[in-house]
Amino acid sequence: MQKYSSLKFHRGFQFNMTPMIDVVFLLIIFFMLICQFISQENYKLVVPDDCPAAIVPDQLDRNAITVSVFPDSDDSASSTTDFAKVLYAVRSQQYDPATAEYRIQPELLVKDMANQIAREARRKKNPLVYLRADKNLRYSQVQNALLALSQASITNVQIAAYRSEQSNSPSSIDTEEE
Amino acid sequence: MTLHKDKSYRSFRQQHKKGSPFQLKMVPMIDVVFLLLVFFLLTANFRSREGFLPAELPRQITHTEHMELEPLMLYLHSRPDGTCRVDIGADVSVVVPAGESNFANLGAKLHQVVLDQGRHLDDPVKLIPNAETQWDHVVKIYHLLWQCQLRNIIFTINSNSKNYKS
Repeated sequence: MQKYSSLKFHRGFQFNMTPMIDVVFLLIIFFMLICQFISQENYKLVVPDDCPAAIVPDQLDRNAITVSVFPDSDDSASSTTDFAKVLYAVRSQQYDPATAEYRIQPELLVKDMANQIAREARRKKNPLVYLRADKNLRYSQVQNALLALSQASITNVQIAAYRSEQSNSPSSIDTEEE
Repeated sequence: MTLHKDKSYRSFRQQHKKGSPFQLKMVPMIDVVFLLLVFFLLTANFRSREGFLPAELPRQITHTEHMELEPLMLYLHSRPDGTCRVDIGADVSVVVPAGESNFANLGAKLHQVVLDQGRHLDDPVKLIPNAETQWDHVVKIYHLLWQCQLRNIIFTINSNSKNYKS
């Protein structure tokens, strides 16, 4: 008698797992696809900050090609010296100027990057380039990317920078007049 | 003619359950699925909300000698102590301390130079960073020029003295 009543109780509280599994699978597929896509271009770098005029788009442009310039995190020498080894990337395609090929012919680096940018741009309707460069890099390291953009005939460029609140402390700037 | 209660209202699952020896164990699958979900949620590298400063590059390289109007020169020098020295032309020099976010004084000086030289907002301004100038300083000065409504900004390339107009 007791066995019968407990069985009845369990039968009464069964809930349908199928929709939950459906949703969970959909979430997994979503994360697998989306995270893979973003990680291709999301290199670890710190873009310049304190630029209140920087426009933050609601959604990244689908026609955008991301060109990244960032320090090589695997470079052990960079931690001890001021001159970090730099890497370039056009979307997920990386370019290492330290490779033998580019050491022998440094102009080949810019040419290869320009060709890759031009190839990507041909697939887009109105190509736009997001230039993401680490704030601690030197201009001589970033200018290769600018050179490649110009060679690829890219006119529409947006320089990545963080927005932040503008402080009002003009007294901290020294001026020297000659 | 009446339908039997068991036949008419009993669900397919209940009917299937009774006779079929094959039952799918859902619990381990749900465990794995949840583990995968948690893994992807934790390992996902979300992109932070970055802003963008618009720039426009010309289709062809422009050389200084082809310019009709002499651009306003801005020489940028990053110093080892983190400060940045900005020379506006040959006469005015401003030093921005390390970590400084407010360039109001530099902006005021720049505005004064533009007025003194009788320049317009669409006249060219040439950014001349040296090889060691930090990208952070270049972008901040570019941002300042953009805020001052100066749109005709030229980046100088050091190696072969080619210029890129923005």
